[in-house]
Amino acid sequence: MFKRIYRHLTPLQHLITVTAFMFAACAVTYVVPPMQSLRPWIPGEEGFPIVRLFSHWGDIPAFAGHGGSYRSSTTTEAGAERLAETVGETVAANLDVKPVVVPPTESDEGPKVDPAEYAGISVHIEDPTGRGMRAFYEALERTARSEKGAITRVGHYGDSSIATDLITSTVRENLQARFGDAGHGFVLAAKGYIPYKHRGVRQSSNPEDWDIREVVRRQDRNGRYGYGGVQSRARGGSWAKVGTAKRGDVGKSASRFDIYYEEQPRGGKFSVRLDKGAREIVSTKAETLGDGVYSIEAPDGPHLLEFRYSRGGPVNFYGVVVEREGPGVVYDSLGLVGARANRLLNYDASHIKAQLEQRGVNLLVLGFGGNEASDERTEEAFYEDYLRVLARMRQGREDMGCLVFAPLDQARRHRGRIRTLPTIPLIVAAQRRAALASGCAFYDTWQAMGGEDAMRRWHKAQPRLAMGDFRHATPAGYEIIGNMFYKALLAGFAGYLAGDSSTAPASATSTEADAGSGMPSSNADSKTSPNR
Amino acid sequence: MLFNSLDYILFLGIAVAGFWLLARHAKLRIVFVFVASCLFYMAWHPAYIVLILGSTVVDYVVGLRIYATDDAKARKRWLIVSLVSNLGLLGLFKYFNFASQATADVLGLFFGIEIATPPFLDVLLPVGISFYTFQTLSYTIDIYRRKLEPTRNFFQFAFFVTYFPQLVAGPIVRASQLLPQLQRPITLRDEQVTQGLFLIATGMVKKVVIADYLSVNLVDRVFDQPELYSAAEVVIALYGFTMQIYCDFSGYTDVARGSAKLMGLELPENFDRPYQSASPAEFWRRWHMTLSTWLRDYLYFPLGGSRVGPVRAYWNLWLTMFLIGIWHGASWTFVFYAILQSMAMVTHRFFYRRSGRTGDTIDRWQLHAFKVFWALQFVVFSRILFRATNLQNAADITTRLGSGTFSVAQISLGVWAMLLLTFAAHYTPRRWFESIGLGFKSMPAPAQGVTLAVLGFILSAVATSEVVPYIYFQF
Repeated sequence: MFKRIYRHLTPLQHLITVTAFMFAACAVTYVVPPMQSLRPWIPGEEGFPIVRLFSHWGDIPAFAGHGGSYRSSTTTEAGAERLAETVGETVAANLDVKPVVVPPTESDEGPKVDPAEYAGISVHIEDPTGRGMRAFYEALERTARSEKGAITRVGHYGDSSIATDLITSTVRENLQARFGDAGHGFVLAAKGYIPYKHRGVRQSSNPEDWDIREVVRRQDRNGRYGYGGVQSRARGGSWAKVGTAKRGDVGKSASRFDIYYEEQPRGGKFSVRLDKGAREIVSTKAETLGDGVYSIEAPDGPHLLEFRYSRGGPVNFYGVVVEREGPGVVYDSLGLVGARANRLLNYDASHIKAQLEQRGVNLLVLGFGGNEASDERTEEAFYEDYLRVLARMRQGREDMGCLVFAPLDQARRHRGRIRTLPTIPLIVAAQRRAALASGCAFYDTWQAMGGEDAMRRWHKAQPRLAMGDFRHATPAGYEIIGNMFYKALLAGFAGYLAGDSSTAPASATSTEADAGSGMPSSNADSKTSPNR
Repeated sequence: MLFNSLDYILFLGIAVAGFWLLARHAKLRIVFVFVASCLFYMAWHPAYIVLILGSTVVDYVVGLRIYATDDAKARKRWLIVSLVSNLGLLGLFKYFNFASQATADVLGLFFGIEIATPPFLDVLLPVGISFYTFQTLSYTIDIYRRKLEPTRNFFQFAFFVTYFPQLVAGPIVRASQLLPQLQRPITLRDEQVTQGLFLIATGMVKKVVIADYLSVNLVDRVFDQPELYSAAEVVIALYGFTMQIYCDFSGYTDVARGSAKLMGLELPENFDRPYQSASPAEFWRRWHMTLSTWLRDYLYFPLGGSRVGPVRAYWNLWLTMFLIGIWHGASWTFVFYAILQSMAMVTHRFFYRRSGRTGDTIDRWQLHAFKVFWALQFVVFSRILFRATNLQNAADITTRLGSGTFSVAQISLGVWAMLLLTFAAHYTPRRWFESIGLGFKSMPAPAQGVTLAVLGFILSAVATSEVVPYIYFQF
């Protein structure tokens, strides 16, 4: 009977029937509780459909996509205003800006940091005991005093957000512009097929002839992955080159190359050559399993280092250090794609301790949490993990600073909205507790981005600051984080120089501006507390 | 307002309901849709409604003036008014900043004259300006050529210019295609209802399930940071972008055509399985067909087309293709994209004519498959310039392509599956898809309604983000 009715519907009646049943099916989701996740609109959450477009028309990026000179830009006042409305003034103020560097003046008072240099941040480094950052600030002070050979070294471990070397290269360039360029630091010897990047350094190799063992995958039974967390095993025909950059503003000079490798009783030999110089043969054979370093010094300038497997038994490399005499800063980017912090427990304890000592790291930064965000674990479980990781990496050394760098915000679509993953605040809280309990400092990257739902806002921004997977930032977004972290380091250093252990530099806050944009205010505990 | 949103579905429902409720008031329904279209447009930027209305008024008046006189000079004068006002706005909003920067670049590079801050207009590009400019020009040019009579009903003309389904990203409808439909009684046929609903559903799937998925999980990542990917992964991303842009743009067209059908109106098709093309020339006959045919009819033919001397014919072809390329965007990447496409067309024409082939020549299937394969490679790799954010980004992608690395570890199973399925679907017989449409058509109306609702739930669940704008919105 129904079929007969449908056959005799006029086209308009047909359309009305389809629409009515479509709306009825949607209405079911509002009356059957188990179907609530299917509701097309949730009252009170996002404004009324259609009407909301006219009250928030600026929310939708009109010109997403690519190319064209008309793309919304922050190079103009209107563009900057639009960006600030979306992501907050603090975040917007850190895009496309080279940090202010106030040249040091001739005086006996020692190094100074002008407040203008770190203006425009709302989140500071938390270090209530001062134990986390003291070693770093002391080294940085020597560098700032231009003491001969005073190099301040930072080793920044992390997940894919660090592996792009976008955050770290921004911090590196800023610190080097401010305190001096002491070289690019540590790079992997050969990366095989793993995603790894160190900007401003020329690197090449024949990836098919290298066997890569990663700390993330626990691929070495001895737990010896080297400082960079990746062991590159050479075979017959393996070669790799590491050189100074040909283009760009930085990285064009080096005066020393250190090759980090594994020593072992069956160790083979490799050859090494700098520029057009003579090829030298280095043996990796030793009575016991250990680590070796082969150094080559040269006049400061552009260089290209080439090393090849030569003969004998296995030859395992950890990486190459590219440095200059200093004074200056070196910032090692040690990104491990897919890593959770607890993967660092795959390191042999004595091996990583020796590697960190060998490298002379003044500040160890651990920036994980992005991959843990998809783990359904409790805050306590995350906390326990971090305590163990910090103990493994620092091993009680007070001469090496230590800082935990919180993860970026991460979101997923939930009931029609893009929302921060519930694990992110748990991870941040666990990291903060573990860091402070271990005498380490803490930087709340999540809060610096804007906290809850920051990824959503970053994704809406023009230019786009977050990727569509809501896990990663775009290069512009990473640059912002790099700039904010650099300023936080500088603000902390200013506090250290001032000897004030109780407050953050007053001029470094901009919470009023952010309050106006509906952004979460900075964490009340987020204060620099440097102890001299 | 984006098609892939709840807002649009509700908006369309209201517009269609109003349109048919006013069925007995022909003039009023035209005004109703015009007002709805204006609101649709204002959802992006209320102020820019002034531009489109201004353009509408100018062309309405110009159309009447051209038609009213037989004085050739006066007719030409009025046509120039239309050309200058429309192309002037397009040039100002779309190309001024690029022209300014490009001039500064060239002066600095070749003459050592440094211009630190070239003039810059801090304006947003009005959405859809590249589309509605061409629509209104078709109106005045057709009247000038005495191929069309102007409408005396302003709202009819305004309906044609601002009609919301095709307002922001085409298809580029000519006055001769839409105005006659408005001038006779509009009726709704049953097949229009099922076809319209099916087209909207297809377009949503293309956009939300395929295009957005490939964009977020593959293409954006590789183009944002190419150095993190192997050459093989970059190649896969290029194929991914090729499928993404097709599903994005043709998905939009499907929704636009489907929406119009629900009002009893027909909009032209814009795609004809373009990746089945056996040459660059055929590709442009199957891709964004309304733009290609617009430039063919209003530029290529008036220049003489191929019925002039050989050098002039090549120049005509080159210029037309160059303008099709540069129409997409004002940046160096699009300039080089346009040059690449136009050179490919010229080269193809040269060898085609030398071979003595005609349009009736049929290749053996092996040769045809070979040609389709290579034409696709050209499309895929030339789109490095289309997708790259700037020349440096394009260079980075090209450098990675030459890196000789073959790992595909970062390509997820979902991306592989999506690419294989979509490319396979593109080369399957058309009747397979038509049979799905017929299946939908054979359903009773309530089942169609529930099916569409369920599809909406699925789309909402798999959508990768809240709103991912259509790529062609920027043009």
